[in-house]
Amino acid sequence: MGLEGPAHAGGGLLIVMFVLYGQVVVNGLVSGLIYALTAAGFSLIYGNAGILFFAIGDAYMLGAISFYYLIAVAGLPYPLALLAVLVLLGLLGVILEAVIFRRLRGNDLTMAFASLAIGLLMAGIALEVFGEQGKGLPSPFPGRFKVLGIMLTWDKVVIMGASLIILSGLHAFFKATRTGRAIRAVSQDLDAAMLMGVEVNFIKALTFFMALGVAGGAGALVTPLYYADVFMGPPVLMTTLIVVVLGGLGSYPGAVIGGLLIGLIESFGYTFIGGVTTVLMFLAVIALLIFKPQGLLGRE
Amino acid sequence: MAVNETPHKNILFPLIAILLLGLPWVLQSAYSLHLMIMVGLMVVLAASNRLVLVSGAWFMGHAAFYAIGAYGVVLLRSKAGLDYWTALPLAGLMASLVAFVLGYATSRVRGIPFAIISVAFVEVVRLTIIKIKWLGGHKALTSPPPEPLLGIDFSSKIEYYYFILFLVLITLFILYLIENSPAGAALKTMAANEELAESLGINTTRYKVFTLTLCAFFGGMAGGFYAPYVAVTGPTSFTLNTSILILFNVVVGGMGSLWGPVVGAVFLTLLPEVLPGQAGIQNILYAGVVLAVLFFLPRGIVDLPNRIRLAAGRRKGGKLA
Repeated sequence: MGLEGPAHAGGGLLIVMFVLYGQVVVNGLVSGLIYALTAAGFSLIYGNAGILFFAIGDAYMLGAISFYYLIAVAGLPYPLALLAVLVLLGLLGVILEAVIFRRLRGNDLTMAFASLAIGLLMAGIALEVFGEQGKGLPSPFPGRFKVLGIMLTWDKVVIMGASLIILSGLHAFFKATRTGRAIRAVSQDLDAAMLMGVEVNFIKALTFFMALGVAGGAGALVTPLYYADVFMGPPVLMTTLIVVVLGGLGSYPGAVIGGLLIGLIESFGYTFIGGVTTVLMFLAVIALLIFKPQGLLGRE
Repeated sequence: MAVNETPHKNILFPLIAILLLGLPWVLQSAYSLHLMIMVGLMVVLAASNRLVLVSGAWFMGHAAFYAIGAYGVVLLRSKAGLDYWTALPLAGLMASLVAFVLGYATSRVRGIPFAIISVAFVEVVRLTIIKIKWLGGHKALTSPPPEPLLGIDFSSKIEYYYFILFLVLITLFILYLIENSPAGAALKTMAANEELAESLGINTTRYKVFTLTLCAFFGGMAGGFYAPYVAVTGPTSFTLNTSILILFNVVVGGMGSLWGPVVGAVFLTLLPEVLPGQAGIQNILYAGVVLAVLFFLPRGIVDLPNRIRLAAGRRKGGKLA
């Protein structure tokens, strides 16, 4: 009897801890998958065009805002609106590549500045059209359920499912199709790829299509969970930079692994040590780049 | 062409000097004077940021030094009880010290990884201010005007105007000396090809640390000027956006010459005054102007006279043929 009491309490504590950690893990996975998407977009452009694409956060923001309009104003069903956002932002990417970056090719610093100006341009357009006020969407998949004591909402399940589908779709595309392999070839050795007859302009345009598409898709996915607002870009840009440094600049698998890791680290960090987490992550980024300039999992 | 320009310059410089000194009497409204002060502040920031860019390092973190200078002055006065004129150079040196450490630690990192480090650095400084209550936290800090110096008391914008004019001239003078010294030539070699520079016996680490440290000093001084001028300083003034704005001033003016940041600061500070509409439209047009300059004047606005001369020459040539 004397032993049973504390043992029982200990078991209870374990279950409570598991529930708490489980919740933290789920939250980390949800934001981690979102970061994986924006980081995949960033890395695609970095790997294929060598551009430090600062506008990735604003592409994410435009994705959220256009998703809001497609659902709240145009009345599209959720899956169709998501698909439309992927395509719309993708087309924006193609336009940016063809009109701006193609002509600046070869001047890396100018391209980085151009991406900064494009970010400002996107934010300006969003501010003019959408306004300063954040707007939310009603949850498209209301309801919650418990698995192993962890409370899950259908919204979170859908976000995780959809990002996994997008990410594995991209992965399959890179591995299994000719065009996908051509994209990887361009990111590994541009000259060799050109000699092999790869149509570089097409590949770069396609890269921008996918990059802005996935970043915009990420913005669309989080909209039912949070708000769509004009200022959501810069924080995501900063986290994306942390992710790509961890995952290796320009590496697609690195972006996905890095995204999940940062999502989890952030989630645990915020739970246990609070907002200092972000400062520590940025310090870690600086330290990491000093010792491995191409990032932790990147190639030299 | 250089021979042609000399007599112009002889008249031009005294003219500019008279104009700058007399400006407070010409400008009727306090707001116009405020704009001129902001131009001066931006000249100090952009010209010093350019020094690092010239060495080939993609430094995008000037907002951090600007923040250290501003917070340095405010805290040295409120917590250490120093007067403004002691606190200001000390705040500049604080920024330099941080830059010295950062420069040494990152001396092997180039290109995009260095750019990301500098961006992360802005966040580290900004978030540190926010997280540590003693430094001010989320709250904005108030900064009283500087104590009177040599009988001049900072009761109106006119005093601030002459003060920033003085800072601008000192900054440009020092940067001019550096650029026209052997160090300037070494920096240009580094920017063109760092391996080549090293093989020529240029100590690239030392130059990188030197440019970043000096850049930080000017950035810190600019922050130290800004804090009492605006009276209320908060962490929102020192975000990545601030860094980006400074960079825009450098590239729009032109990175190739010391006058680039000056021209850029005048142009981009006054641009929003003539742009129509609300913040949204203004941002769109502002970004459009930056993109247009990147496209059509890749060497910045300072290259415009050259371009016009070339175009005119070509037309003339065409007629002759």
